Amino acid sequence: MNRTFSKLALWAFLALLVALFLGYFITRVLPDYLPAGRAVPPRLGDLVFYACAAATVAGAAGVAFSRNIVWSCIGLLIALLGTAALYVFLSADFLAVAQLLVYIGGVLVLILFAVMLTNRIGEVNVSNQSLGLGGGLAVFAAVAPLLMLVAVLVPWPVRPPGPMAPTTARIGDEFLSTWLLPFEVASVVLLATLVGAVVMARKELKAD
Amino acid sequence: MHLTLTHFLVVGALLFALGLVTVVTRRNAVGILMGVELILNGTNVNLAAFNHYVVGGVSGQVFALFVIVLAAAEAAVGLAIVLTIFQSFRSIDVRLADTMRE
Amino acid sequence: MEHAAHQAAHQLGPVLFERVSYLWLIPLFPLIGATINALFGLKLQRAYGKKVIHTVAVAAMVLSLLTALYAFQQMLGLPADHRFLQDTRWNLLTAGRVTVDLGFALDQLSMMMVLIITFIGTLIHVFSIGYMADEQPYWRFFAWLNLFVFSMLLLVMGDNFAMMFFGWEGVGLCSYLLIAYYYTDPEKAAAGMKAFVVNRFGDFGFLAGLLMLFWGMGGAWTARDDMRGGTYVPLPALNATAGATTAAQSVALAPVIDGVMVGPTLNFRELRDQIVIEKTGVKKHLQEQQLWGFTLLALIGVLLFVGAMGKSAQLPLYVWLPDAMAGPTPVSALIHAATMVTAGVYMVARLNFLFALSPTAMAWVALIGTLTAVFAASIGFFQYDIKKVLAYSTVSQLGFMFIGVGVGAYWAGVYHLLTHAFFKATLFLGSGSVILGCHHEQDMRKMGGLKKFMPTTHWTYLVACIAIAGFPVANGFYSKDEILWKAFTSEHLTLFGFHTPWLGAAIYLAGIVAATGTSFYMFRSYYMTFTGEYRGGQGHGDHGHDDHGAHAAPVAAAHATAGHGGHGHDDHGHAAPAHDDHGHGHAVPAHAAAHDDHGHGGHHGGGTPHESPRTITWVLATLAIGSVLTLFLGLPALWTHRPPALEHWLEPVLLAEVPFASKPHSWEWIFQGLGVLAGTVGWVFARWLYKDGKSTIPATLQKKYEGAWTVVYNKYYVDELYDATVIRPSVFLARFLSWFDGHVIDWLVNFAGWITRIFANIDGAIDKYLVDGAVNAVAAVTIESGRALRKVQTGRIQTYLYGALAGGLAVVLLNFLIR
Repeated sequence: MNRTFSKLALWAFLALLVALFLGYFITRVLPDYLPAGRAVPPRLGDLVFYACAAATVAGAAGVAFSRNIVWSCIGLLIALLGTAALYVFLSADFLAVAQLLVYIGGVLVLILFAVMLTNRIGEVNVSNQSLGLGGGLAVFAAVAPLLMLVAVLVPWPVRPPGPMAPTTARIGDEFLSTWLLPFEVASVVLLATLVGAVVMARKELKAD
Repeated sequence: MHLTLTHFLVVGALLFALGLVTVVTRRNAVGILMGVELILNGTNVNLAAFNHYVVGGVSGQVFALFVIVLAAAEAAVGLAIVLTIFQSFRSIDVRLADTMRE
Repeated sequence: MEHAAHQAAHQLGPVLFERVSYLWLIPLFPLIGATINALFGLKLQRAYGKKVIHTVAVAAMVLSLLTALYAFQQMLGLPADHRFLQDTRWNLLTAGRVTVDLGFALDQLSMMMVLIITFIGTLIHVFSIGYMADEQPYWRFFAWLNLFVFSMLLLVMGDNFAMMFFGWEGVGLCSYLLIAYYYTDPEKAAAGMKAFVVNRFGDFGFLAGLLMLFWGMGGAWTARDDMRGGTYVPLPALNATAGATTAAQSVALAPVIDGVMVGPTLNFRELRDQIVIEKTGVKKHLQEQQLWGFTLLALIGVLLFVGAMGKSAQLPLYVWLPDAMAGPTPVSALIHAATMVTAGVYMVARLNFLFALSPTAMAWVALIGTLTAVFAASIGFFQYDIKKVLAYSTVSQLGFMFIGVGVGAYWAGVYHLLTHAFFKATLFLGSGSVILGCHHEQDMRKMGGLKKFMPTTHWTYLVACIAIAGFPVANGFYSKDEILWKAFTSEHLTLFGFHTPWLGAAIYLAGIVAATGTSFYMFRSYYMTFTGEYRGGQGHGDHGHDDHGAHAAPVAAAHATAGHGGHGHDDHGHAAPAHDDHGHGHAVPAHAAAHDDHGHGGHHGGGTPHESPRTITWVLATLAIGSVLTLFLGLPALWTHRPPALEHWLEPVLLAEVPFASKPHSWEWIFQGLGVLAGTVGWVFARWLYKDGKSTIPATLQKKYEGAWTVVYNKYYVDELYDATVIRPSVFLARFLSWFDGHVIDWLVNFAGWITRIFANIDGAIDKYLVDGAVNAVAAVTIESGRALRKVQTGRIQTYLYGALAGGLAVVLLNFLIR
C-alpha cells in the first residue's frame, strides 16, 4: 500500500514536471522559433488549462479502466481536482471551492470508506474486475465522438465573456431570492438522505 | 488559440463518456457509483461553461451547485445501499444482486 | 208519441252530470262484509255463533241500501236531464287511448238496478238467516253472497266497460262458488263448473264484441281504405296506439269535435255522447264499417249478445241455469232470478243507442229471446222438481226480457226485469220456504196440501203466480203486455239483410203461447204444492236435497208403511222412468233419531210440514207486496194518458230511436185482453188437471203420449245433445291430443333432444380439440416467448443501460439523419 502510494506520488510529480516543462517550452521558447503571424502563440493560461484538462481526462480514464478499485478512487480524485481547476477557468470560484469541499472532502472520503468496508482490499484482482471491456470501449466509441462532434460543430451563440470576478455573493443572493424554493427542497432532500442513510446503515450494523 | 467554449465542452464530453464506460463495465457497485460521479462532473463542467460563455450571470453555477448537492446525497444513499447489499450477499458484485429478475 | 220522443233524442247534447263522491261506498259495504266474513268468518262463527256472521252481512247490505237510497233522493232533486251522478275515484290504467278509471256512475237505469240489487239483496240476506241456519259453513255462504252483491253493484255502477267486465266476471265467479256451495257433492260441484264453463263461452263473445267496438271507434288504426268511406274523415289522433301514459295525456290526445271527445273509449257516457250527437260523425263512421262482409255494428251487437246469452241463460247457452239450482235456494233467488241473470238484459239496455243502430242485431236478440221463452216454458210443463220449474220459468222470462230489448221496447224489457225480480224472488223464496218446511224435499209429488201448514208462504206464492201469469192485479201483466204489444208493432227488424216486418207478429204469437204456458206451469206448481193432501211421508231424516236416486218400488212400499199421523204416502201412480224418489227406507226409530240431528231450531215436530220462521215469512210478504205495488210503475199510457212512470223516468237513458207502427187504441185494448185470456187459459187448464191432485187425466195423457212426454221431461235431451256434440268430441279430442302429445309430440321432442345431443357432442369435440387447442396454443406460445424473453431481463443494471444507451443514440442519429 505504502509502496503503491509512493509510486503514485512519484508518477504524479514527474507528470507535473513534464507538464511544467512543456508549458514553459511551448509558451516561452517555441514562439521565438516560429514564423511570426503564422499562429497565435499559446498563452500560459491556456497551457495550464490543457494540463488540467489532460489530468482530468486521465483521471477519468483511470477510473474507467483501472483494475484496482483503489486506483479508481485515486483517478477519481485527480479527475475531481482537475474539474475544480477547470471551474476556476470558468470564473466559478465558489463552485470550485464547493467541488473541493463536497466532492473531495465528502463524497470521495465516503467512497473510500465504502471500499474499505466492503472489499478485501488485498485481493486486487477480485476487487475491481471489469466486465465486458469490449462493450465499454464500444460505448466510449459511440458516445465520445458524438458528443465531441456536437461540441465542435454546433455554432453556439457565444457572447464575449465578462471579466473574472468573485461570484460567491451573487450566488448567495440568487439562492435566497430566485432559487429559494429549490434551495429549500434541496435541504429537504439532504435531510431525507441523512435519515435514509442512517436508517440503512443502522440496519447493517444491527445485522452485524 | 484562446480558450473557447468548445474546449470545455470537449472535456465535459470526455468525462461523461468515461463515466458512462465506468458505469457500464464495472462489476463493483462502488465503481459504478464512481462512474456516476464522473458523469455528473462532466455535466457540471458543461453547466459552468455555458454559464460563462453563453448565458452570463450565475444561474448555471447555481445549477451546478444543486447537482453537487444531489450528487452528495446520491452518493450517501448509494453507498448505504451498497453496504446493505454487501450485508445481504457478502459481496458487492452487481451480477449477484439479481434476485429481482424473476 | 214514440216519434216525438225520437225527435227529442235528436237534439240531445252531452250528458250533463253531477259529480259526487260517495257512490263508491255502495259497493264498498258488501265488500267489507265479504272480507270480514271470508277472513274471520270461521273464527267468529266458532267464537260468537252464527249471529255475528249474518249481522255483519245484513248490516253491510242495509248500509249499502241506505247509501243507494240517499243517491236516489239526491237524483230526484236534480232536473230530469241532469240526473247522472258521476264518481271517479282514480285512474286504473292508461295505455294510449285506453283509459280505465275506477269510476262509478248512476243514471236512471243503473239507479233502478242498484235499488233492485240492494233492496232484494237485503231481503234475501234476511231470508238466508232462517234458511241457512242449519248449514255449518254459514260464514262461507254469507261471505260469498256479499261478494256477489259487490260484484253485481260493480257491474251496474261501473262507468266503463272494464269495470262492467270486472263485475261481469265477479258475478260469474260468485255464481260458481255459490252453486257449488255443497261442494262435497260431486254433482253439485259439477253444476258449478258447468255454469262457469258455459259462461265462459258467453264471456268470449262479450269480450270479442267489446274489442271490436273499441277497434271500430278508432279511425286511423288500419291502412285499409275500403273499411271507411263517405264524408267522415278520421283524424290521425284517433289512433288508439298513440302514446300516452297518464289519463291527462290520454285526454289531451283525443280530438274534440263540437265539444265532444271522439275516438276509442271504454267509457259508457263518452260512448253515448259520441254516438248520440250526430255532428261528431262517429255514428256514421260506425254504420259504414264492414268486417268480413258483415256490418260491423251487427257483428258487435251479436257478439255482445252472445255475452248476454251466457250470462242471461238464453238459447243455446241456457243449460247451466237449471243445473244451477243445485245451489241453496236464496242463491237461486238472488243470483239466478233477480239480479245476475238479468245482467245481459241490463247490458243491452245500457247500450241501447248502439243496438238501435243495427236492426239485424236487434232482430237476433228478439228472435233468440222468443225461442228461449217458448222452449223453456215447454220444458217447465212437466218438471217435478219445484226449483227446476222455477229455473225454466226464469229462462223463459229472460227470453221475454230479450224480446223487449230486442224489438226496441227497452223500457218494457227493463220493466219486466224489475217485475220479474220481485215475483221470481217471491216464487224462489217461497219454494225455499216450502222446501224447508218439507224437510228439504224438492219433488212436488211429495208435497201437496201445504196451504194449511204454511199460510203465509201459500199466499205469497199465489200472488207471485198471479203476477207471472199476467193478471192485471199484479205487476207481471203490465210488463209482459207492453213487451208483446211492442213486439207486435215493431216493423224495423232485419234478418240476414232482409227487412222482416212480419217478424214482430211472429214473435207476438210465440210470446202469447209462451205466456199461456207460463201461466199453466206456474199454476200447476201452485196446485201440486199447496192444494190437496200432503203426500210426503216424514221419513226424510237425511239431508238429501236432491237425492234423486232411482229407488225400486219395494222401497216406496216400505216407506208407505212407515207413515203415521194420517198422512199416508199417496202413490198416484207415477211409474216414470226416472222416478224421483227419496231414500225413505228408514225404520221409524232410526228416522226419529235422524230427525233430532236435523232439527230446524225446533220449528217442527214429527214429520209434518211447518211454516218457516219469521225472517222468511216477512221477507216473502214484503216481496209479494212489492210484486203488487210495482205495477204502478208501469200503468200503460192507454189507461192514464201519460207515459208509464218508469218509461218517463228512464227516458233520458233509453233514448234509442226505434220506429214502431202506430195502431189504433182499440187494438191495444184487444191485445191486453188477449194477454189476460192467455193467463186465464193456462190457469184453467192447470186447475182442471192438478187441483188437489185428484185428476187422473195427467197420468192418462202421459201414458198416451209417452214418447213426447219423455222427450219434454228430459228437457228435449239438450244436455245429452251437448254431451254428444260438444262434450264428447271435446273429450275425444282431448284424449286424442293427449295420445298425440304422448306419442307424437314426445317422440318429436325426444328426437329433437337426441339430435341436439349429437350436435352437442360434436360441438363439444370441436370445443375441446379445436377451440381449447387454439386457446392452449396461444397460452403455450405466450409461456414460451415469455420464457425466451425472460432471458433479456437479466437483473443486471448494465444490460439495461446498454439498451437505454442504444435507444438514446438511435434517437440522436435519427435526429441527424432526418434533418
